[in-house]
Amino acid sequence: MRITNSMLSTRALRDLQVNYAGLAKVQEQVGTARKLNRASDDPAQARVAIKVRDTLNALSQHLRNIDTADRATSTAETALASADDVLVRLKELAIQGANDTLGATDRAAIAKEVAQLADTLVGLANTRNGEDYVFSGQRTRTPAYASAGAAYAGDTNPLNARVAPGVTVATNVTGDVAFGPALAAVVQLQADLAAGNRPAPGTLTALDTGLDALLAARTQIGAVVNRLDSTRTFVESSQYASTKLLSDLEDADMAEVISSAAQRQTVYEAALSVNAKILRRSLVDEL
Amino acid sequence: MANGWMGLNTALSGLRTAQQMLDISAHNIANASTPGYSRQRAQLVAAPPFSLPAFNRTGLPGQLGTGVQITSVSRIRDAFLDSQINEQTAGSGYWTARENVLSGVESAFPEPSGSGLGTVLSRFWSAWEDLAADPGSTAARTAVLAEAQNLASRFTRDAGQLNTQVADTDNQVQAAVGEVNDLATRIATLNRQIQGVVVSGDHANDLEDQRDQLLEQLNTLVPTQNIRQADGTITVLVAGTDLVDHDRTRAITTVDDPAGNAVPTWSSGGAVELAGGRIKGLVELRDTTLAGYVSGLNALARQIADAVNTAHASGVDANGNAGLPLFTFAAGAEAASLAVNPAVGSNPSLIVSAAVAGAPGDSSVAALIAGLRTSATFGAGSQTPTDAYAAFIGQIGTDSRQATELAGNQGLVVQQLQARRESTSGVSLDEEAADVMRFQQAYSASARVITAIDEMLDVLINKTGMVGR
Repeated sequence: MRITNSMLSTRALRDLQVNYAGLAKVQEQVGTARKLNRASDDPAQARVAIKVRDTLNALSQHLRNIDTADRATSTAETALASADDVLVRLKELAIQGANDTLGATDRAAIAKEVAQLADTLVGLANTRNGEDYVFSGQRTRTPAYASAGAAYAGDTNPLNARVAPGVTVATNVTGDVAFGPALAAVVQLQADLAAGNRPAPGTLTALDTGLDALLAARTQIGAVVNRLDSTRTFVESSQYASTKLLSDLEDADMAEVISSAAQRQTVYEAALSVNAKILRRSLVDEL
Repeated sequence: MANGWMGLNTALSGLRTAQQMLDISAHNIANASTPGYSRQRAQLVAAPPFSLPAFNRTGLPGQLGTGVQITSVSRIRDAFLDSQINEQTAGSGYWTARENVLSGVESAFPEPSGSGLGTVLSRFWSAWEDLAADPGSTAARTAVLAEAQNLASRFTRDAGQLNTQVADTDNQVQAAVGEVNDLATRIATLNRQIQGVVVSGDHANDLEDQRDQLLEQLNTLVPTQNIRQADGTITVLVAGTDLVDHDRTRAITTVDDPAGNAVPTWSSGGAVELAGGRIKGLVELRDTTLAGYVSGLNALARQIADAVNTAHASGVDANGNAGLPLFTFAAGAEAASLAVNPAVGSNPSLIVSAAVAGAPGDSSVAALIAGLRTSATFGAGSQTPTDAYAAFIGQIGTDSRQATELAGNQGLVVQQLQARRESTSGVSLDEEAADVMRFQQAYSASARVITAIDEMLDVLINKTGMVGR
């Protein structure tokens, strides 16, 4: 093949261009620390990366939802524990009131304390998490009980939290289940004592039933808390796996990129210096 | 019998020829880096020999040469390589046009990253999740409204970018058609000049080089078929119709189709059916590729807006009133016109969370909308919104990658063919330097012959017949 001067310079220029383009690509990867800078770098990987990024966003959202649910359940748990204490005290008062040595005046005094405790119990049933009443079902803006004797004003619907992909958890117990029996028993006890009577045997049984209901509600909330904890562990490990996957998809292997940059630079410089020597000369210089 | 003057003429022809050859080398060296230039060579032949006038010519052996002459100066060019280059240039023009426009489209969608439509969409669903987790919160409602506005304006922006690319491509089509007409006119002018030279029996080397270069430029725009006529002109056919015939051209104009897109049309009527080249690449991009992206984005916007609207209108807002559709859009330009329903405006209490009135803790509608994130009812009907969006981006990436690769390959093919042509037609300075030396020496040698003859004649004229003087 006959080689001419402009063939040499055209090819030298093209090869330098190709080398330089490669150097620019590597430089971009070093600069951004990413190997996937646009969809055309690897369309299939880019598709996966877009989905994984959405999954990651969804997972961190689930963690936020778990946090929100945690606040609601711990508020409910505290309220139920206090209600438990109140009911134990009420039971003591009931037993005290059953003592035959007490007169009507004494029983009226006990009835006063019972009335105060009844108010406390109503207050606990109307516990709020932020602005929301936690024991009113979905009627979160309505107090569960206006007074100890009033009817339950909430509904029986669950408050659901989306805690993991496809998993929802009811984070509440409703007031009618948790507090209803206890409040009914207190009203009965107060009525018995206010009338100067010994608490009826049915009243004592009702107090026990109220205590059982509270315990059942605490157990239920405790189970929800446990479930939230284990879900959190699961979501966090999924989040870790997705973060790692996204990094594998998008991030450049710096050691590899830097060594390839050094390699390309060597090639580029060698090409430059050889071309500079060859292109300068022709037979014209020698004759 | 040869006379003494004949050798003088023979040597003179050598002198003149060496000078002319040197002139040709000078022209070659001067044009060593002129684009499209083909090196020129003189055809040398020995001048017709001189037969001695005698009946039987016994006195002399054979014919006597009378020197050298140049019959023609022609360019070294391989017409087959030219036609191959033209063919491949059309392919290169097609893919380069796609590469340029598609890389522009790609940079309008910064994916994969945390700043594209994908992330905005993700945040939109997350805002609904927050509301579902805390349906009584005004802050969560405000966040949903803000993210809905974000999503709508992101769709509008992305659709705007695509539409700008479509309009740019349309402008490029018109500019390229103008370029074709300009090149055709210049080729027609050269045709006329070359015809004049050829008719007078010469080779129009430099004019033909210029015309070949214009033809190559023309082929990046539209593939042509070039027919060389006996009078030296070239008839240029585009899709079977003559764009240039002798010194006449047939102009290509653009006629707007109903969508306002320029369609290349012959001035004599009829659309120009193109098989390749930049114009076809641009027209295809505008009418098929970019139009496909626009309708893909529109479909995604419509599906998301419809699904959210249906769910949103099924519940009640914070005031207990029936929900309104959250988004509005114009059919046919869904992405570009997507907006938050003006009736909802900036009033967060009109955002729907509950399915029924009187249950502020009910978040079933908010949860339903948040759940659309993973609902496989989008795209072709079996994808989540993110899957559909990822497929949309993947398509742009695949198209762009294909165009870049093929433009690179096609460019390489053209470059290799050009190198082969350069190998045939290019000026080698080494070769020319050697030639210059050769011609210089030939000139000196011929001059020496003249000196020798001169000395012989001197003997004859001045020193002969002087005996006894």
